[in-house]
Amino acid sequence: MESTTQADKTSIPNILVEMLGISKVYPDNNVTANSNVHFNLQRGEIHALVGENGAGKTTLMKILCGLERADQGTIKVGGRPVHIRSARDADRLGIGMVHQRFCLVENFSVADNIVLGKEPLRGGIFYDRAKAKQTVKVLSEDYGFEMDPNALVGTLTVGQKQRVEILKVLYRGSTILVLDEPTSLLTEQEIKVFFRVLRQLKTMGYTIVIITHKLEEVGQISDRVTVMREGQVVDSRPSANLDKATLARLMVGKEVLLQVEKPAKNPGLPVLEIRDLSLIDPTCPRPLLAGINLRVRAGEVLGIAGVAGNGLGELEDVLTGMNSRGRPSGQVLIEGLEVLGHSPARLRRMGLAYVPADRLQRGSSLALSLSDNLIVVNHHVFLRFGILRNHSISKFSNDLIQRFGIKGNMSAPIGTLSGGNIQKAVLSRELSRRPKLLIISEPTWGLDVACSEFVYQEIIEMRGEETAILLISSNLDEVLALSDQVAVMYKGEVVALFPNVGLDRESLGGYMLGLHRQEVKEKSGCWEERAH
Amino acid sequence: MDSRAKSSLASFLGIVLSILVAFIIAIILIFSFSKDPGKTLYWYFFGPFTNPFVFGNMLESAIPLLFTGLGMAVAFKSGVTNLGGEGQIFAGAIMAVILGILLPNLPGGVGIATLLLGGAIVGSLMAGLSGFLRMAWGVSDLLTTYLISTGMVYVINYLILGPLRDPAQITIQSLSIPAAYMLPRLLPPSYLHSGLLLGLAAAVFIWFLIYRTHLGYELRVAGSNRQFGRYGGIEVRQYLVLPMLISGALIGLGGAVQVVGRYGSCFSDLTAGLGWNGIAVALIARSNPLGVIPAALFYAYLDAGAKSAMINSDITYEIASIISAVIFYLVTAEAAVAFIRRRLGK
Repeated sequence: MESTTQADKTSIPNILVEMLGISKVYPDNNVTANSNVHFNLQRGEIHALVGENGAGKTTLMKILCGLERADQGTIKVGGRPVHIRSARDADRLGIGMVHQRFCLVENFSVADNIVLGKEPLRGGIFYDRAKAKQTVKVLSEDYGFEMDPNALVGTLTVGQKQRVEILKVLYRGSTILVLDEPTSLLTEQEIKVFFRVLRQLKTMGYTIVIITHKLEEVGQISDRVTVMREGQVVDSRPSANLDKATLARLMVGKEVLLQVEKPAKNPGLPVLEIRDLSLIDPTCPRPLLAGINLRVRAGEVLGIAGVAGNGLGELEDVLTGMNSRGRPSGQVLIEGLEVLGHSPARLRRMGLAYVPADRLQRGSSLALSLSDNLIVVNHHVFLRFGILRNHSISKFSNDLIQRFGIKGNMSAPIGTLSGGNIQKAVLSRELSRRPKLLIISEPTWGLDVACSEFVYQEIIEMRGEETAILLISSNLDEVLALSDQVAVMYKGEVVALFPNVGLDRESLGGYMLGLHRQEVKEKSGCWEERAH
Repeated sequence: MDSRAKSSLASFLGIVLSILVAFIIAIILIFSFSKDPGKTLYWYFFGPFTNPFVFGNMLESAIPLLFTGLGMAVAFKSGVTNLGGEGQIFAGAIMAVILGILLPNLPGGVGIATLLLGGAIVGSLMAGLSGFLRMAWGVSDLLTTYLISTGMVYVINYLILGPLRDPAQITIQSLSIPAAYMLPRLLPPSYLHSGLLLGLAAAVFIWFLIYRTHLGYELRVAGSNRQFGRYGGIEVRQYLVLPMLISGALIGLGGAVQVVGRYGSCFSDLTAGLGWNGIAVALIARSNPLGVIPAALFYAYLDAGAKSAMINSDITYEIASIISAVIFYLVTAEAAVAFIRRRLGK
């Protein structure tokens, strides 16, 4: 906190943006996202804004970009106080944001996407596509982006899509770029290219904020770093000579990253067995899943780590019967019974509970009420002669709402709840079933710290009750904290499987990025015996 | 105020607001196009209530709209598209006529029930076929309901002109069903018949089915988000067919009711856009089965008002249609509800 004092600010001559005393509380779940935050940005620097999930980084930047409004505090740009009430206001000040999730029209060309919303016109009426292409071509050459303006966005790689997003912001004339977790979806190679682009932009005079929770990126790319924790700025300093351990301590406030009390226990019989599972989509050059062998026993958590795009989503879909792409082969057994290709309905009757990564489209139906959403799996329980007993449904819903602290009315459409509360509703429905097998994907994505801890406790409790748990997560800390076994996926393959003893992020990271792979002699059977 | 109460209040105020705006625009239109606006206004808005005959006829014209509106509401709620209302209502009517001719000697009540059931089944099968095609091969139900319905209209017109034609009549119409199979009139000399009660009962029944039963729950889940339904363990494929069967049955039933309640026979213009108007009614009702009752009455009222103004004042059919259309567009506009919701939100 000390380094963001008044003295510090006046000593830096070239301040472009100042955010002073910013506070923001989200009223619907009463989360304090920002509390009296001071943040400044120097002209022409790359500034890393780091912190854990829910530390308030994105909220702070959304306030700067006019996407959220602060409850308190002032913003100065170029020394002058400004009011940023909308994205358009931010646009006028030259501030543009590139979001974590792309907002692109897949079946439009690169040029069409970039100019969308600010199209060049002919005669003031007609869209001048030729001019759009020309402008985008020049723009992309100026920045060394090597983009084909005619390419359909749907055919681009993730890294190229990201460059389209950046070009969109540059096209609008922004000189201050805010990038929200830009590397989270990129491969290692793409990250290198991306950083080169950022350095180039910096030499051209752009000022860049990069939000991240990857520690190694801070040293690689940024000039200065601001660390946030639980809605407050903990420190702000030059990135040079800052080691990862110090940074990690600043981020989490303690030496150890994440600790969950996990009683030792011996796992029971195998519940889920996966043998030689492959998934081939003829339209895709490489298999989406290739020869996967894994098993999860009762009372055991198997964590699967991997970078997005390496088959985690496909594995989730195939195991839960939601797969609609390609043709799976191999075997999936639940308690010895072959279930590959079974519908979700059959799998659920066999004791599956499933928290999908996609809560909004798959895990809930936004137009239906909260209680309609809560009873989807077990609505048969509330029937008498085919008629729903509303009284029992209310009681059941109320129970879950109380236990999981869901903030929302049970008869209101679930779509009116905040993201975190929708998340809690999905979790409450699946975790309350006391299933044999739980497949849970990105369990704490979007949750605040207290909620995450609650979810971890629930998972550990289910483990104690002999549920077999398959945890799929791109959050390494989470995988390390909860798992008994850790598997790493890379390009559709399981490249490593370890018992969770003495593992750390760095060693797993190598496997996740495809730098190492574990040698396996047998295809199926007891990985864990050779993994030491 | 909790969010649910707020949301219902917003819907209610939104509809009131849009009706008010619609009436103001209607009044402006009448003032610009009528030489005697006072008289036109009077007949437009109060005409349907001036005597029991026109009032009864207005209620009568709401009856088929209840059935087609309900059929469309079920389809909307379940996420399927039924654009075959015209053919389904026509098929329901011709089936009732055929059964009435084939089985002339049943006791009255049994006969009526048979005719109604026959109409419902034919409508149900027609729509159900589209549902099956979508389930089995992913054929767009929007296309097939429309195409099957259009083809059916030609087949039925052939039946009316050919084998089923009543040679004793000057106008082209089918043979008539026995008089014993006609529903009792409620408000003679108007055409209002007891099919109204059947329509009201159907609305309550469908509301109960959708909101209180197992089947209705699964329909709503599958209709609002198919992926979520599948994820939750519901066999969603069947819910491409089942809602179509229900939707078609209601609309076919509406056609049969037109025969046993009003006409006693079938003729080319029997449907008169009732299938399409059912979509309008379901939209006004926001797909709520109970909302279909006021929506059908409102639609019938607009229609009766327009007719009354045409007969008793100087307004033309075209202007009357424009006024009805303006009111209709504004009432179905979601914008008003959204506007009120925003205001309440602050």
